[in-house]
Amino acid sequence: MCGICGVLGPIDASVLRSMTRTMVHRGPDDEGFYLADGVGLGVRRLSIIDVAGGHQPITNEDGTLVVVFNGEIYNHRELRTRLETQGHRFATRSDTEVLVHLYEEYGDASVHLLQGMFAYALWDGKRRRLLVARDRLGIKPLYYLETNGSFLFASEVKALLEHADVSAAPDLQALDLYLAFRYVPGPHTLFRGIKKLPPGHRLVREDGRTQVQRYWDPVLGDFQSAINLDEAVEEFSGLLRDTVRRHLISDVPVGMLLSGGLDSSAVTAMTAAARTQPITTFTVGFDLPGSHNELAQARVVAKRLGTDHHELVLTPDATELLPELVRHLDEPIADPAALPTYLICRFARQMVPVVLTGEGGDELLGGYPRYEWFARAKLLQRLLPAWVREGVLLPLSRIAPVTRRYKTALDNILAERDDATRHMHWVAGLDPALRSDLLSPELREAISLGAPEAVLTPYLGGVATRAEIVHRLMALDMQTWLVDDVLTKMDKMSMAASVEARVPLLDHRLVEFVASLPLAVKLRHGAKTLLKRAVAPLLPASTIRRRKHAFQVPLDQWVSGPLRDFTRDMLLDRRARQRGWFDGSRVEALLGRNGRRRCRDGQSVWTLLCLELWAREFLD
Amino acid sequence: MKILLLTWDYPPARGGIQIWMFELARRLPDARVTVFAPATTGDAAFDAASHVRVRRLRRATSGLVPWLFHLSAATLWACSAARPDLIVCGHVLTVPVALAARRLLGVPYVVFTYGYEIRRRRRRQIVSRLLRGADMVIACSRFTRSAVLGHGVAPERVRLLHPGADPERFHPEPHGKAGRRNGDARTMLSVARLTDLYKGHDTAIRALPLIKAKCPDVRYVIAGDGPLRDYLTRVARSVGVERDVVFVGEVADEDLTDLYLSSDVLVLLSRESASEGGAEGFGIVSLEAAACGKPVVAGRSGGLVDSVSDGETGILVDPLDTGAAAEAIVSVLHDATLARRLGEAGRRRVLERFTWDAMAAEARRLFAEAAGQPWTGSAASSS
Repeated sequence: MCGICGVLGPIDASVLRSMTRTMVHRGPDDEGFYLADGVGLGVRRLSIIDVAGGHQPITNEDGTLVVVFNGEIYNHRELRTRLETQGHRFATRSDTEVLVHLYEEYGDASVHLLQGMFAYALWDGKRRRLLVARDRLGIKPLYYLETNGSFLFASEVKALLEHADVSAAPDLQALDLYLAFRYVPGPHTLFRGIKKLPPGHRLVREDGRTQVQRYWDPVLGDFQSAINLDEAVEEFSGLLRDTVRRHLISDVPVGMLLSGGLDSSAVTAMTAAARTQPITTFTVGFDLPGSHNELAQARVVAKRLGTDHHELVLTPDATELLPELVRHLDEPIADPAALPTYLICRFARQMVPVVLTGEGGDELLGGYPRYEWFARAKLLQRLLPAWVREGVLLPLSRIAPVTRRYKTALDNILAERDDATRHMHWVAGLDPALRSDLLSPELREAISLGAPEAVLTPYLGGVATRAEIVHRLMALDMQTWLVDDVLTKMDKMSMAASVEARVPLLDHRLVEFVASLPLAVKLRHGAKTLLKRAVAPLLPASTIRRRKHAFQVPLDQWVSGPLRDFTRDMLLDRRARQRGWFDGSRVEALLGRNGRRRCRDGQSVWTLLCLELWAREFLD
Repeated sequence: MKILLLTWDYPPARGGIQIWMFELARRLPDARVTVFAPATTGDAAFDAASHVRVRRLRRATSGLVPWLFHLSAATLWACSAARPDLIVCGHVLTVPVALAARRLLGVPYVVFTYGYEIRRRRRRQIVSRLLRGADMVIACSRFTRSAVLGHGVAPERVRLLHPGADPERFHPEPHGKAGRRNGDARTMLSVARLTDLYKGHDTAIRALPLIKAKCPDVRYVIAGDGPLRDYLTRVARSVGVERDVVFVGEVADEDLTDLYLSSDVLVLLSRESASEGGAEGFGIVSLEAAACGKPVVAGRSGGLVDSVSDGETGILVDPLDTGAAAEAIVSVLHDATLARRLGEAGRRRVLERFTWDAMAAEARRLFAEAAGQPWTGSAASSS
């Protein structure tokens, strides 16, 4: 695992060095540079494979190809063996060197052979051409920009900002996207001019021109129509077993982040089954009123699997941690799960430099109930006229004796809404109405409203079958939420602690297989039956049966309790007002509502708070 | 020898089993063979031209189960009217009928096995019982034989019988001159129904960007049609090769030879999959391509290890390894000498071991053994 950066254009050693050194946390073990006429590459390295010999950048035999690499290639041994039979000579044992020889053999197509998580840049000196590629699911990040004829890229935005030609200015259009989604969906970033390379894409920079091209995309649909659940479980289990085994390749100790939930327990169980010696597991719990604690569940799993289990109970001080988190995240991601992720990675780092996690299980297997609810809402919309839904059922649902969460859900199902708005109501950071309410008139003038909905349009609309609806929503989540929230958070938080996090559930072969399964199998007996059945013999029945739980952070209580004053200070003071992004009185009203004991908008306040902290960290 | 052949799969329907059953029936002229097959459009014309005694059972139009009832009645009636020496089940699904005939009238039966139908988890216990009750189980490959043994069938009752290809029809110079190739473009070809994912079209498509890196003018012709076409189209688009994959749909029998001849390599990357027990039982198309003098790159899986001789008539690769597949395909596309050597050896191997006549000769021996009596020609009575 590493941090990489580079410049095509005028570059001197000191700038390259300071760019690279903003990413020391990503690679505390080693650093390396390549500097030639009009090209500079830098890398910080966390040594995992070929600890001694894997120094980067790595070149080919005659030094005309140079590569900097962030990630892990899980099939590097097989690739190496094949390349050696094709006559390539290797100088190291590292997975990075495989990239150079693959390029010699297959050019830009080599990316199709890589199994793993990666972002890398390869400089072809003879053709004066730079190839940059990001893994299929977007597990590893990559940012780039073009400025004054130069081309810059890096694993983190902070590195780009070290360059003299780059200054941090907000992209106001992206700001609206952030408020809508609570993260910024790629290729946009909150920094003007800086873009994310989308997952499954590669970029070629040659003759001053940049070309971005997709090389992989998940193909979701009911394609294996005749497969039954037993057969799917058998195939899935085999693939998962193989994938987990490959994810254990390392020259340094590997541990597991165990939350007690199904996904991380499943990965832990598969790891335990693949290894003879006991594995190390880590769990963090919060000692906070109202927080959901998973320590007990994790302990049950650890005991059953006989792991060397470590747990840590914390009372985190968010006012102290949040600014640090936001700096590491580069862009605000108002996902409170970032906090426990960061803390557990720091805890694990005391013992291991590599961890496996259960990230991606929900996105892989359709684990979000809202997919089905969305399909049901569309069905209702087709079957019942609007006046029945809005005039009869909706008022009834409002007086029904159910919790507020259910009421909101019912509201979203019954109200007459277009697909994009409905989806927004389910996933939004800020309620769509609140969002337009908060924006200052000037900002509303400056941007084109409706950009967030435009992100969704390709995936929604049209009358479709239930399977099609769910599959489209899953594809949407993979391209947005998974990559720009879940995975970015995991990468940045683990790297902040100098830990490499591996996500076996997002192995692309596993994704390709599950994507082609019919919905009737994918969601038979509720979501994740495949995973449950695959690991049922290995785990306690209570773990398999457990219902899905939301993140551990009691946001609403925080925002109206310990964080109340901090939030007001941040969002209402002069610096915040001077930005002119929001209508101050509306923000005040929002905070006023949340000052009361039963807060409802914890997520909205958190979203604004993260944004303000980001602005202070990067803009002021 | 009087034989009743019960088969759901029979021409003019398309497919490997269909061809095999037809070739079996027509190449035993010295036996009195009656085929019980489903009625389908175009059957009358086909049967009139084929000189095989076929009884078409009309219930097929309403589905398999009504057809099986019709088959049971017809078979028992035929057996009691004139007891055959042997019932041959072309597929395990017709075995219940044969089992009934055996119980009631003591007629021995043999059953042909292929792959997916005996590998499926669904109704596995029933299949086991049906196979164990047979006097002989014929497996089309070593792979299938081990699957049959997995059902607990006594090894001495399991026999190997490979299908074949017609070397006159599939010929490198069918019209007395060499077949045409389309300009300089290199062509990979797959021939299969697009119904089963295990056939590995997806692996070949995913290997295509790698193949193109070394052989830029390559195209991948996919013959056959079915519900997976949409999936494969989308896979091609997802890896950026939608322009290089050509779906030509179903190809008529008479055009098949030309199709093989217009290609450079037959690609058949079938894998063994748990899904529906999917696996290549044998892979007749690999023999057809070989008979046309074309090399084959195939998955090292299922019966393909019998139909393709690795390094001699083609190259076997791990069917899940796109890199290995790409490398093998490129080696054949780039090296004309290698391609010719594999193709020529492939045709030679078909002529030596895999003609339909050779298949029929072996079938005679096996049928006689199963019927418990020496093969006696009854050609005179059959005409």
